[in-house]
Order: sequence, then structure tokens, then C-alpha cells
Amino acid sequence: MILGFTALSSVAPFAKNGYWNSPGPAAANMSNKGAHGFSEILYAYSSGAGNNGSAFAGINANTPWYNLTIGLDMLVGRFLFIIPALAIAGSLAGKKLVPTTSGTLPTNGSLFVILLVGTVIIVGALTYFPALSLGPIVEHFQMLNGKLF
Amino acid sequence: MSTVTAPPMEPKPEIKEQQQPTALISRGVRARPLFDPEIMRRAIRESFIKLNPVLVAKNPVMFVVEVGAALTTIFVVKDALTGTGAALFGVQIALWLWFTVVFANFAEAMAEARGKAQADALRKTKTDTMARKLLPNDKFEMVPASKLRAGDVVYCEAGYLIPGDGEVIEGIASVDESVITGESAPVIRESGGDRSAVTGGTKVLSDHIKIRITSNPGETFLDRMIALVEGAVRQKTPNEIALNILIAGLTLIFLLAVATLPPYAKYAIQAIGAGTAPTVAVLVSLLVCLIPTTIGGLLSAIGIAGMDRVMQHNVLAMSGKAVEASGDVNTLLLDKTGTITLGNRQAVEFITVGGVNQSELADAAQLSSLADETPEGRSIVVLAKQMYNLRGREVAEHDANFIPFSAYTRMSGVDIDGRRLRKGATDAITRFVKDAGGSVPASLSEISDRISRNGGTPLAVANSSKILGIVHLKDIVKGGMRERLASLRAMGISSVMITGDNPLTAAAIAQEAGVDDFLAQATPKDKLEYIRKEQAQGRLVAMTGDGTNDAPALAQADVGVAMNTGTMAAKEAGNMVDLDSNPTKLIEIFAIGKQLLITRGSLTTFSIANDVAKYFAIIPAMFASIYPELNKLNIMGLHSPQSAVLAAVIFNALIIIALVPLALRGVQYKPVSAGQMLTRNLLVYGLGGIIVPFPGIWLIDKILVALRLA
Repeated sequence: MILGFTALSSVAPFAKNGYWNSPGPAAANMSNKGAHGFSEILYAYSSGAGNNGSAFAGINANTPWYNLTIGLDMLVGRFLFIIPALAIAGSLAGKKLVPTTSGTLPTNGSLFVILLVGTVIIVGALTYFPALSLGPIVEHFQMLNGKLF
Repeated sequence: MSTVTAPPMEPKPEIKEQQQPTALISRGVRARPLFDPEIMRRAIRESFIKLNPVLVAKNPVMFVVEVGAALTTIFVVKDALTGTGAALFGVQIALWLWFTVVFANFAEAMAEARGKAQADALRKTKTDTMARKLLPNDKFEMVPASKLRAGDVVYCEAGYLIPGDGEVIEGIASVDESVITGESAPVIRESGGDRSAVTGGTKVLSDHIKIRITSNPGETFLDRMIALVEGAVRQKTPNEIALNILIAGLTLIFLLAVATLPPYAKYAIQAIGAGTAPTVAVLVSLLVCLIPTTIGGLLSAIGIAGMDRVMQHNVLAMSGKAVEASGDVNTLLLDKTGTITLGNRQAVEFITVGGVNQSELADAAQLSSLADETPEGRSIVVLAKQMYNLRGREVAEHDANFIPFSAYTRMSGVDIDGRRLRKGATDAITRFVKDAGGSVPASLSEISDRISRNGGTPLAVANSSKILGIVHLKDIVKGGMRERLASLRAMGISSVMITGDNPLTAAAIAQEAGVDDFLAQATPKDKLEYIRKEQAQGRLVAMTGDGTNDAPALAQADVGVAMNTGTMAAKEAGNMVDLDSNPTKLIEIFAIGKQLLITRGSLTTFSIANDVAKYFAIIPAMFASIYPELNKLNIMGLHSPQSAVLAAVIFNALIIIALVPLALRGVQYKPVSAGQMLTRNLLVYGLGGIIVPFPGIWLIDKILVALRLA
């Protein structure tokens, strides 16, 4: 979702002064060019789906295009995800209770914590790494080279 | 190895059972070498046939790879025609993408070919056996085996193949059953009793027998076995389906992650005003490297190989589901007789009463048992010989009159040289002695009670009116049983002994063998209810059995293992058949089931962990033309963007081949708790999966540069 809208907004060709996005193409809303501009788009959608819906000051998100897509992003990211979560809960509730033996995976030790956190981090990182590498990661390297936005 | 062929005709007089090695998964039972040339040839041919998109579509991950490979090929051809693009690079990428699919197919074909090789070997034994059918007028008629019907009687002598499944109705012969069991030592088949069943395709080695055929052509055991081994239509197991959904989901996520990259790149190029967008070849490469191709390619091979490994332990699994379920079993029900104990009670001790000399008792017991052909009787003869060096005497020289056992008198014995020797149940002998005018010492019932309490059987011996003493008969727990049950416990499986004995005897044996629980005086209904009760608590129950009265319980159990020597009803009810009829082998089956699940988990972890390194190879290569700063991510110091992408793709393809042996053999399994096992495997396959690709890709990059391929 985040990635999809970011992709669209990076390239969406809107006519200048049109209804959807008066500054022109969706990418023209940023006052910062380059990697930082990309970070601004990525952050706007990430925050819409997962956080407080804020955006960087450098991006003018108050256009029909951004309002609509960030709104959709919020809807899906916050509410529609409840459906699969409930489905998982339902499936868990319907499962038989399995007695604990030494063949059962202990879920109360550091091992389980490492496993769970590790899985979340690796799968999450793998999904967003390409997008991040074009935004914040590049910015970081650019900053080390003395280039700031 | 734990395969136990039917023992030679004389029951083993020694009390010690041959030690069963406790090694859990012993390799090389009748394992074919991993890279048999014939199987290799067949697998390579198959792996190209399997490129057919219709076949590949069954595997979503590999289907994506194949589509990617086709797409890349099209663009390479297009570029070649228009004379643009880096032709050498494109061709190589396309080639390696195709190889990825071929390698995955190869893994599957290898596993299948191993099964087929076995089926072929079996089928060879089916070819036109001629049978000597016995006609009503006692003459023979030569008919092809395929014309035999159930009920026909055939005559078979040394050197001939038994034409069909049947039952020996006359005679005794040694039979080579290696085609079925893989065990080269011949077994004895004789009319009457438990060892009368013969299987078509096995060979009579000595003597001659008459066999009544019990199955029609096409329905024999061999036919069913071939169908199973070939696994023409293999059902996916629940675990496999779940894993398939997981890797398909991951594929979808990575597809999205890669599909959004060109717009990002386009934006960045516009913003920077420099650089080139990633080509289709590079994008497809990234996608293929990210999606879990390793596990996707090896998944079905792991499943097929699991079945094959069970086969190598001489157990026929009716479905892969049963093998897998065996990996999750919590409770195992074992029949006492023949499984936990040797099955025959054996004499272990002579206890005298009333000041009788020990050797006098032993002598009397031995004499009274000389004509007793039961294992108990023979064990008395042997024990007397061992302890007092009393040899079996030539009774013909004496005036001996043997009294056989009868259910009415409940004793047997011999009248010899004026002595009337009897042995039998304590109360029967007491009556015999009192009838002869003798008296019974009080210590007799005391000793007899003590033996009963300890799980033994007392056998009183008397000479006319004089009680000599008691022979202690004992159910001997098989050697190594304790260790095997202990390793089951380490795997998290509790064992339950089922016996028809009284609770007292059962408790004593249960304690000696170290089972966790026992079910005494068990009726078929008791067994069924016990299984239901365990299942209601969410446990998975496995059970072994061979009798018709075991059939309901075998059907109810999640994993029912029937013994090959058992009745047809038991075999139909279970979902596995143990060809060696050695129930302790279940432990190996459980280990294989667990190993199967662990292998899948380990390779999935490995596959996903691999992605980390591939990102560090491909992402900098992809975008370095736009943002040169990203070259800092190129921590492996790969030569050029092209060599980096190529190296990642090649590594991705080669790792599939490198892991084929692991997929076919399974990861190492030891009976330890799930937590310990997981820690170990996470370290090896998780951490290893993150680390290994870095030097791997770096090395391939160096080789590519050296060969001037990139």
C-alpha cells in the first residue's frame, strides 16, 4: 500500500493547475528535489498507514490527489487490516489446545523473542529496503558527503 | 540396523535379545547412493521436460521465475535485433534464470526418480512368472501368474518365484523376500501359525510348499506397493500447503516491492537528471533473487524424499500426510507382546521348596519339558542345561510316556523310569500332588504369589506326591527398549503399553521397560476409548498393531502402523505398513516425520535469510548510476553493477543444487527438545543463511571478472 502509492505519486503525471493536483505532476509538490523529496512522499504514506498521518513540511500534501490517496492509505492500513487480524484470531480460537511437552516450542524464553523479532525485522526490512535505499539511505550517504536538504 | 527378519525356526534359546542400536536414523539401510548415475540421467532428462509451463504453474514461486526468465529472454532477443543493450550480460542473466528453474525441477526429478527406480526394480519381479497350478487330480498345470485367481492352489519349489500373494497350506520353506523388504537373509514360511503368509514375487530358496493364492491379479501387495512408490498423484500435505501459501505470499510482497521500483527510479532520474533506469533483466534478477526460490524449488523434493526415507526403513506409508503426522505424535501406544517384551515367556530361575536339591528340580523340570515344543518349555530345557549342565537326554532309551498339556488338567509332563513328573499352574499341581496323597508346603503359594506380583509366571513342578519347586517364567523386556523409550520421551512422546495381562503384572513390566503409562486387561473397546480420550485432549496418537481386534484402534489413531505379518484387516485399517513387523521402528518413523518438518523450516529460514546479502549486491548495482553514493552499500566490493547482479543470480541458482542433497537426506535430527533443536537450527540456517551468501557472491563475482564474463 505504502509502496504502491509512493510509486504512483513519484510518477503520476498531472497537468499543471488541474483539479487533482494544482502544482502539476504529483512529484512537483515537494520543495526539495532528489532523494529527500522521495523520502517526503514515502514518509507521507507510511505515516498515513501506520502512524499519525503527518507529512514533512517540504511536501504540499493538501491537494485532492494527496488527500484522497493518503486517506485511502489510512483506511486500508488502519481498518481493513483488522479483517485478516480477526481471521487469524478466529482460526487460533478454533484450534485444539495442545498439551505442553518437551516437543513443544517454548514461547516464554528469549529464544522465542529473538525468533519473533528477527522474523518481523527481516521480512519488514526485505520489503522496504529498496524503497528506503532510494530515500533515507541515500540521504544519509549524501549527508556524510556534506550534501543536505 | 533394526530390521529383524523372522528368526530361524528354533527360537533363540539365549535370554538376551540381540542389542538394537539406538541410533535414530541409521542411513544406508537400503539407501541408494545419492548420485546414482542412472537416476541422475533420468532426473536431468525429466528436469527439462518439467519446464513445461503447465507443470511449473503448480509451483507459484518457480512459475514467477519462469515467467521472469521468458520475459528476460524476449528483451534480450529484442535488444539483439535492435543492436542495443549489453548483449553478453542479458544473455547470461536469461540463461541463469532458466537454469534456476531447471535446477529446481532437477531437485524434484531426483526425488521422483529415486522412487521410480525402486518401482522398476519391483516391476521386474512381476514379469511372466509361470506357476504350477495344482489340479484336483493332483496333477500340475503350468499357467502364467497373471491367470491365477484367489483360491487357486499352486506348488512352488526351490529356485522358483512365488506367483502371487497367498498362504502356505502345506510344507515349510525358506524364502528370499529381499524384493519386498530389502533384507537379504531368507525367512521361513510354513503352513499354519503366524508365518504362513507369502508375497508374490519373492523366491523360494529351499524345500517346496503348496500355496493357496489369496489375491486376484492387479490387487497383490506388489501391485499396491508399486503404485505407492511411484506416487503418480502425490497429495500435498497440510504442512506443505501452509508453507506454499507462505512462500506465495512472500512472492507477492516481493513482486510488489520490485514492481514499484521503476517509478521510484524514474522519479529519481528526473530529480537528479542523471543515471539510467534499471533494465528488465536487472529487475527480474532482483525479483528472482528475493522470492524464496530455494525453498520453492526444493519443497516437493523434500516431501518425496521423506516418503522415500520411510520406504528405506521398510515401512510403506499410504500417504505423505501420515508421515508428517508422525512427526507431531504425542502419544504412542505399543502392544506389549512382541514389541516391548520378546513375546515368549522364558524360564529364568528354579526355586525349590521343602529342602529339595536345586539340580533335582532342574532335572525334573527339564525331563518334563523335553516333549514340550512351546517356547516356554524349550526355555526350561535350555536353562537347566546352562545352569546345571544337564543335557537333553535320549529319552527313547528309557521307558518314557509323555503327557501333553491339556486345557483340562492344565499341566504336562512325563512318566519315566517310574517317576511321574508334572509341571503346570500352581493350583493344578497342588491338586495333582494332593490326589497322589502328598502334602504341599506353605512356602509354595508364597513364592508363587511373589513371582506373580513381579510380573512373572510361576510354574510348579512335582514328582508324584512330592512338590519339587517352582520355575520362574518371565516376560523378558527387549534389550535396548529402555533407551529407545527414553529417546522417545526426549522427543516429547509418551509411551503407553497395551497388554491383556492383569494390572499387577502389567505394572511390573511397565516399570521394567520404562513406559510412561499402561493399559492392562485391554479389550479392543478399551484401546479405542483410550485413543479417543487422548485425542480429546489435543494429542496426536500413534499405535502399532497386527491383530484384527486392533483394527478399530488403528483406524482411530492418527498414525496407525500395521505389521506386515498381521491380518489383512489390520493392514487396511492402518495408514502405514511395517514390512519387517518390527514395531520399535516407529521411533525412526517419528524421527523422519519430525526431520521432514524441520528440513522444510530450516530451508525456508535459509532461503529468506539469503535475501539480505542479495540486496547488498543488487540494490547498489541498480541505482549507483543515479546515486553514486549508494556504492557505499556495496560492502562486498563487487566489481561492477553487471557482475554484481549476475553473481547474485548465479548464487541463487547454484544454492538450489547445493542444497539438493540436504533436501533429499533431511537435516540432522537428534531427539532433543524443540527449544534446543530450534536454537541450533536458527544458528545454522538463520545466521548461516545471512552470512554464507556474502562470501559466495563475492567469490562468484571474482570468478566472473576473471573469466571476463562481466
